[in-house]
Amino acid sequence: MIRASCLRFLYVISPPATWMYAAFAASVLMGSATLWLNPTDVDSAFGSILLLQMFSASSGFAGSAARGYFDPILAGGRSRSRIAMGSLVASTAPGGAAWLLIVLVAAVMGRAGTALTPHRFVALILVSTIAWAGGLALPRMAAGGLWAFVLLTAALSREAVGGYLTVVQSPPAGVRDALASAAAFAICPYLLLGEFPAVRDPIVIGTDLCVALTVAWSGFRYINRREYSLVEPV
Amino acid sequence: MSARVSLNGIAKQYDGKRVLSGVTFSAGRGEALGVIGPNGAGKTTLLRIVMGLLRADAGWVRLDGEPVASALARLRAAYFAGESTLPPGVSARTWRSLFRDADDRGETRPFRLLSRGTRQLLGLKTMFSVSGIGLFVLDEPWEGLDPDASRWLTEAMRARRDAGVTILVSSHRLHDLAGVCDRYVFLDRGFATIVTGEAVARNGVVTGDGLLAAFDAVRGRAR
Repeated sequence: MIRASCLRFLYVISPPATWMYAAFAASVLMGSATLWLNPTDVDSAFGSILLLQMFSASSGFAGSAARGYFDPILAGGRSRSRIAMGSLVASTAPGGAAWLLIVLVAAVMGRAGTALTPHRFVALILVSTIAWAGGLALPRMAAGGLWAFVLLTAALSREAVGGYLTVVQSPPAGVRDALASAAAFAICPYLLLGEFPAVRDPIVIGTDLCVALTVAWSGFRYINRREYSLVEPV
Repeated sequence: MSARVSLNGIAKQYDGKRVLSGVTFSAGRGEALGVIGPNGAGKTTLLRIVMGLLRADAGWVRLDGEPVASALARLRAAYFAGESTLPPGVSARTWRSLFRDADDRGETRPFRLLSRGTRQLLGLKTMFSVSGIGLFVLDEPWEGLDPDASRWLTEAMRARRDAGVTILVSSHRLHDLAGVCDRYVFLDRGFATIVTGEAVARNGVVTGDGLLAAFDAVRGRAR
């Protein structure tokens, strides 16, 4: 019955807020200007995009579904996994596009090697999947808000910051250290934008990628198993 | 007549409160089935179970003899639960552009700026413009429609039914249901009673009053 793809349907029905596009555009412009003035400073541009992605990817799927906005596609015979994939891509595409634009600008400035390092991409993937899956059952942007609050609280605690920096500032001596570093990066993916020794450890990066995939899988499972009752509008 | 929709022993409860209990019926091709019941009787829950949006706690649903999930991928089914399920920020034109066969001309304002009746009519017209639909599941479709739009809907449903489409429709507007349906599912306190059009007809005509009297009799409130 639906001719649009799951991605297009979900993107049209539940697009990111207009101001979010403006914020991403401003981030790309400011990041490009920063790179123009200081080509070594790739991470400040990526940092602002990560922050916006925390909110943008938190799409509030369940809220829209409970109002029946997704009924045609949920009852249209498409597999729930395709719908989940559509939701993930529709929610994270604006941030992903902004990220790629910064990579492009960095490449033009001769910093492609820095912008294309795996740990920076893992930072984007972690933020995208955790904010998306965490935000499925919450109101729109709530997962991003909660996560930002936790990070802000941690940043205000000298002990927590010290703990994080100790974990990531030295190369992991063993599997236990690597897992501790991976956990620190998963909680605060912004640390992956730095050049800490731990970000170059393949076990750490591999573990964080696995965390991102597991979180995405749990989001798929949530959409697959959820019951779609209607909530009467107020 | 082969069954397009079959339900057997459907039960559902929310937070320990029974909503549906042992609901069993079937509807064949070219048959329109009206679902009648007071608010909270489980009409919407029943229709959403048929469309695979909710899972029954017990019993099963088959569409053309297959489980719902696999049947929906093959059978074109249209489900409309009312204008409140249309996304308010999307224009009718954009909405229509998402559906097969629906032309993407017409109203460009977002749904939130349109009247309730206009939203309801546009939502229904989008569903009815899709060709090849084998099953229509409509929840309170006449709600908010003006007389002309109500007449259009009734005629559109009759035309689809006569063309072999199965229709499952719930409504409080019994006189409208009477003009379309062949059989009726009375839902009361979770239990379903199936009544044929002939059984409630007076002088060969099914009326809203006749349906209400039959429903009252089923509930033990006959006057």
